[in-house]
Amino acid sequence: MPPQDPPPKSRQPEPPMHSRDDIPALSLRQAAFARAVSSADGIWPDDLLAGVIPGGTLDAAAALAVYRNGYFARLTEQLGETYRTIWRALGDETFFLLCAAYIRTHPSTSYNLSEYGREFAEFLATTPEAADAVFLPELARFELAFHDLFHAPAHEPLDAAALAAIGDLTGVRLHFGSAVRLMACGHAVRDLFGHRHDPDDAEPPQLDIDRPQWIVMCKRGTDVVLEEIGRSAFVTLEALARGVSIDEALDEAATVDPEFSAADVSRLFETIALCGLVTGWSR
Amino acid sequence: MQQTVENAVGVGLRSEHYPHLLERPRTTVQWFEAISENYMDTAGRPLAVLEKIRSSFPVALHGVSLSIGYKPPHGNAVLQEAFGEQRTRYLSRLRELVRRIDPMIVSDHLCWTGVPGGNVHDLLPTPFTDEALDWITSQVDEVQQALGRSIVLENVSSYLTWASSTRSEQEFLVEVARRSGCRILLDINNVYVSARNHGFDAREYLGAIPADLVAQVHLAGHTDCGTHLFDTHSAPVCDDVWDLFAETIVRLPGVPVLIEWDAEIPPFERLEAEAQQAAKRASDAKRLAHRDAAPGSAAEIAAA
Repeated sequence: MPPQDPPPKSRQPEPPMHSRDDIPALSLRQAAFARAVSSADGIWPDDLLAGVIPGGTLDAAAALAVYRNGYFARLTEQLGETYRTIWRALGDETFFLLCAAYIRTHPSTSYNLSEYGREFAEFLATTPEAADAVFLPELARFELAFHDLFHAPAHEPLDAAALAAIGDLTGVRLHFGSAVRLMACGHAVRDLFGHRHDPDDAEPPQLDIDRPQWIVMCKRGTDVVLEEIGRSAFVTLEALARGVSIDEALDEAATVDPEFSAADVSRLFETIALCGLVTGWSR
Repeated sequence: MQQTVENAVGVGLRSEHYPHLLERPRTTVQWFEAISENYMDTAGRPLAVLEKIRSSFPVALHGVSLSIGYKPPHGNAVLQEAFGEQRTRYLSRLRELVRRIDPMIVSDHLCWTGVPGGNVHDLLPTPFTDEALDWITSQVDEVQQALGRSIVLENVSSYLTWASSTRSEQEFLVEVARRSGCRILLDINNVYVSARNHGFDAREYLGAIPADLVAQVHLAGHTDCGTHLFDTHSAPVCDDVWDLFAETIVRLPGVPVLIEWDAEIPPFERLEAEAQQAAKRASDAKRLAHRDAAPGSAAEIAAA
């Protein structure tokens, strides 16, 4: 393959910069085009229609509609990629209707298409069409957290031996890695998420969707690890992640569950090691 | 003879093929092209896969969001600033990816993709006017300086053109390249699609592109929607495009060729077969051209 040369400097433009007075500036035409393509009202401004020459046997409106249809299709596809479990739970028709409503009110502001749809949870929470499925906003937050963690850099965790070497835990504060998310969910969204790749013709899973779940999400290498833990263990982890000492965190857990035992603490530390949540500690 | 220099044939790297490629299969594919934006903003598995592929193959980075043709409105400080911030962020991420991957080519499209606060995520046609030419030339210059290397710009398929255009697309493309020092990614399928949609002669277009400006060739399939051809990258290369390729590639010794397939993506073996087809057609076309140009050939006698 040819080696790359250093970039050449451009030559000065040969003709002087000018445009005919009767032609709107490039930036105005682009603004009008982008606005029309991303709106769903089906109306094309007359000056835009007059300014384009349609291809094939299309008329100007139909040619512009090729770009508008592409816009809605691409953003719908991205929402489907990030919120695959929601798509599966709702089915094509309802999901696509919700996507269309979301896209109409939420323009894409980043060059990175993968960033699109960050307000989908808030949108679902306030959309009458989604009101019947109260778990949807929570599921959307879960899927977005998974999406973000998938693309996040992994941290270098302490292994089980390093954790065991801490010895006396009194006053010890654990330093959590950057690629950790703790999610307290009022619904069994992790269970639903586990079925997102089921074949299209698979029977819907029999789940108790109203079962609360406490989830640890963490990046290990290039994979995202999901671990369900108990409520008191979750309270402990949340406190530790806030930076309180281990003994203070266990005190907080005891207020939630007076039965929180040494065995539970031991299991919790296994989870910390297994998921690789911690990058260091201090006393 | 220069005309016999091989055209290395590659394919677009798509996530559907990651599991297959990570098994390090024997393949006749000589290089891969990765969509820059799929790897610029992630520290996840896609980047790890790309680095693994790069350890065994040359890679080209092909962007879809540079939006080289967008011009912020003069006198609108808010939009100018938003545009500047977006471009700076984009180029800084791209520069970092280029540093990691050390690609053989960095390319994008001769188009615009939206406005600040409203990205359309499409390859939108630019008017072929003096204003657009001056603006794009200045932008290519800025991008090349920021990246510290030349870039390559691809002609796009279009479904409309601007009434304000004062040049043909090929004149515009060549002029951008000549003025800015960038080179051209000649997408022969895009030329064919646009030629059919807008009623120009694809051969005339291709013949107007100087060989020394072409850094890469793209081939892909499209869909006939009845009212227009649509650049779907969801099908094999059609016969007409293969014919244009054969006629064009004889002028482009050594220029890398890429098969794109982005929708209804087939198994890797099918894509590989399409790449082999491109290599064979390029080789056959050059052999024929060589034979016809040889002393005593029928073509030479006729010319004499």
